[in-house]
Amino acid sequence: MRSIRLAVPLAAILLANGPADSMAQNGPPGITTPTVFAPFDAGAPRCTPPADLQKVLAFAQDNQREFMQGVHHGLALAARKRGLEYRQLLADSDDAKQLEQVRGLAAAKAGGVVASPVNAANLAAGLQQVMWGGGYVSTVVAPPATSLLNAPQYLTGKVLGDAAAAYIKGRLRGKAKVVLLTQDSLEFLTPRFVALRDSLKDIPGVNIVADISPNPVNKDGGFATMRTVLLAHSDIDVVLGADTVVLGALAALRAAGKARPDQFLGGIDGEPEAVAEIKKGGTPYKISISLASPVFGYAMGQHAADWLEGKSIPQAMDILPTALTVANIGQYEADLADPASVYEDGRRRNSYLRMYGNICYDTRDQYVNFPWSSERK
Amino acid sequence: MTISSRSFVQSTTALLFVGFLALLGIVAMTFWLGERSRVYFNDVIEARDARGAAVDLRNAVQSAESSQRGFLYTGNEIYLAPYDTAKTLARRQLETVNRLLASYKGADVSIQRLTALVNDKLAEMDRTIALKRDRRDAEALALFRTNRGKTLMDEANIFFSGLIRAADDRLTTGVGEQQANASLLRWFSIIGGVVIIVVVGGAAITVLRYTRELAATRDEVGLLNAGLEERVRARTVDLAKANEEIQRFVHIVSHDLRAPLVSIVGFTGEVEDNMKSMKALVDRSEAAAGSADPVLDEARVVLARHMPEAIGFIRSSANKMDSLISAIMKLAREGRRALRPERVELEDVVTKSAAAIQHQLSEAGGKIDVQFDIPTLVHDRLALEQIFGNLLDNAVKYRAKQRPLRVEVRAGAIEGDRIRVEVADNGRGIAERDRERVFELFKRSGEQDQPGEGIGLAYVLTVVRNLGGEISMTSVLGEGTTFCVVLPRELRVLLSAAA
Repeated sequence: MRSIRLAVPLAAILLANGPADSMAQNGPPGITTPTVFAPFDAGAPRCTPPADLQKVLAFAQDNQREFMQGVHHGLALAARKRGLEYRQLLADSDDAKQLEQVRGLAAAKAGGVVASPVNAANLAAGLQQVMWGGGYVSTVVAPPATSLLNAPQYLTGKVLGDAAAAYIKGRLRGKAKVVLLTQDSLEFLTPRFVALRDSLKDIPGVNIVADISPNPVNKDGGFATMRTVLLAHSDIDVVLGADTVVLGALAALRAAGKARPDQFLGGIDGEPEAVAEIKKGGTPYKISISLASPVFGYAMGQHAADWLEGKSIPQAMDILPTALTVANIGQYEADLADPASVYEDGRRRNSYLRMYGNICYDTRDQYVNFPWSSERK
Repeated sequence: MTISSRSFVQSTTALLFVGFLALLGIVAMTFWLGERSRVYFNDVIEARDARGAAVDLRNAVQSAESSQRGFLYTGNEIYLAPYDTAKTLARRQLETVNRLLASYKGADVSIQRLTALVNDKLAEMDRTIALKRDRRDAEALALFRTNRGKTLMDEANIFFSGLIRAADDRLTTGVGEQQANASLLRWFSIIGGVVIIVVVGGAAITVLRYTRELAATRDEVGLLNAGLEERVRARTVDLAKANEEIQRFVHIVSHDLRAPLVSIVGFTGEVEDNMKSMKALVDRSEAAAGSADPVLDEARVVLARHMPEAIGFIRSSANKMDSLISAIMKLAREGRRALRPERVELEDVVTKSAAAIQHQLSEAGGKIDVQFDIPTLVHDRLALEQIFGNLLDNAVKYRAKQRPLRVEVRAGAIEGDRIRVEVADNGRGIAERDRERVFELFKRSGEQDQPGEGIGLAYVLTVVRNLGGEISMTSVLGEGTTFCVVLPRELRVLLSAAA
């Protein structure tokens, strides 16, 4: 299966987040102030289709991480489906190279560009060139974009937190010692952990014995942090955080002989190792929250084709978190392998994607040029 | 089902033993639980102190951190007012935590780590505050933005919560143990109490049943006794009447027998007188005839020899019969004689009896030794004199002629407020075959070289029994005889009982 990792790529993008530099622009700045979009109206009137753009869909990909490879997979399938020429442009984490690649696409009148920016601020100008030229631009998280994709961090954390709360109430009789492994280095992820605390705060028997950010945020950091926690607390019932650090915590529990089948370890990102633990069954690792990148990649490809046909598309889109458990992981993997069938099934599509606002070629000056989030208050 | 005395004692003992065990168990359990409570109480106190120290330490560090942040944000020294105090308190509480948890297994690593974290945190705060005071705001902010202070505090919080949680667990365990102790004590007391109640109840039921059975038995015995006493009284009256009848019969018979006997003796004299007349007649007839007449000669022989001889036999037989009748009448009179209890010194009685036979005793070269160790008796003096007079007389009469007579009279008190008197002689003794009948009336044994009718010992037996006593005899032929008389010390008791 394709693993979907979102935290780190989104973090990298958002570190350089912000509206594109208006001083260098040759076109409209787009919507630069935070705006709440209405739900997407699929029946919105058609627009004029772009006249001189190539039926080309390109993916300016920062690197070949598995998460982005999932996007690539969805885009390729959609392009094939809609008769677009698909190009995968790998930047190898080189922002300048990526900018050049995007500028090249603008110059070539590519009809659609999807980008996972290496450096969002640097890439913004190139993307604006595409948009000003009438092309479809969609980015993973960072503006500017005709259609911006984001992940609802609070909801992601809430899905994990609610699953943990249900487990604590059901299996642990409402009493649990909980370890929250946060990620202080990425401020934008804070809503995840706010959501986790919100889910657990109303259970009187929950005692959050550790609320700490491992350093570094990887498996080793999780291992070291959990080992420290075990010095003070011999028995831990629940561990929540990103998959990588939770996997490290699991290793520490096992090394200390403190791992139990009735523990609840849950992570975010759908890491392959986490998924493997879940698929084993009977291990402490019970759940991983994943974002289905092939599904939203396929949707982006469809939107690009719609754009070139003059149809109205969403201005923004949430990829909804999916809680992977041993019960649903088979269906989830099937969905990732065949995102087309998910997209064409309205009910299943809505379980992965939530769309906001409407934009088309005629209203392309209303592109999103602020760090949008459906959860922004 | 009735309860025997043995089963009553056994069951009561068993119940008391079970009750004792239950009581002992309650006492032992109370002592043990008290000891456990003391241990848990001490543990609870230690846990409370450790928890308090951990909370105070955390509050002190947080107070210092608040001061630091306020100062870093505003540069106003007023925010630092509690800073030094908080640091001092933090260090003191850190020492307290170290001291309280030093003995706890596995706590040393946590304490070391917490100590390092707190010290690092205080140092980090000191550093940022110093930079701010030196107006090196950028450096202070840069240091702050490293999040090291937050990281240290987050990690310290793990140990704070660990210490507090561990103390809470110990408090919970201690309280739970105390509750368990109380519950255990309550249940043990209830069970022990129930056991004791059951035991006491069982014992009470057993005692009640036994008491009821005793009462029923007592009532039954009372009824039987009442009936028995009534029957004994009736029988005694009957016996007395029968005895009186027998004595009256004996007296009448003896009297009636004596009357013809007197007639026989009288007529024997008449016959003798007639025989003298006949002899004179024969003598005159023979003188008248002048010659020997064979018939007269034969008559003379009869009158001179055969008739006196026959009359002599008749008289001796009559005398013998008279003495026998006298003996019977004597016994009968004794049976009817009213006993008169009085204070009697037995030694006086024996001495008096010995004096009565002093002449015969002297002739026999005899000697009587007396050994008395008895209190004064309340008895019928005459009866006692008859008993011991007869026994001493017998000793003299039936002495062994080949050796001087030695008689020992020994007397002592025995149980039942009775006395035992032994009269032992070194006389001729009694053959084994005769021993059983020496107390029978008109029976004599051994060589009949002494006058007597064989009524002495029978008379003694009668008198002894009249006094409520017993007489027995042991004898070795040729060596001597010992008579043993057992009598009540007070005849009055016997008489009142008989009445």
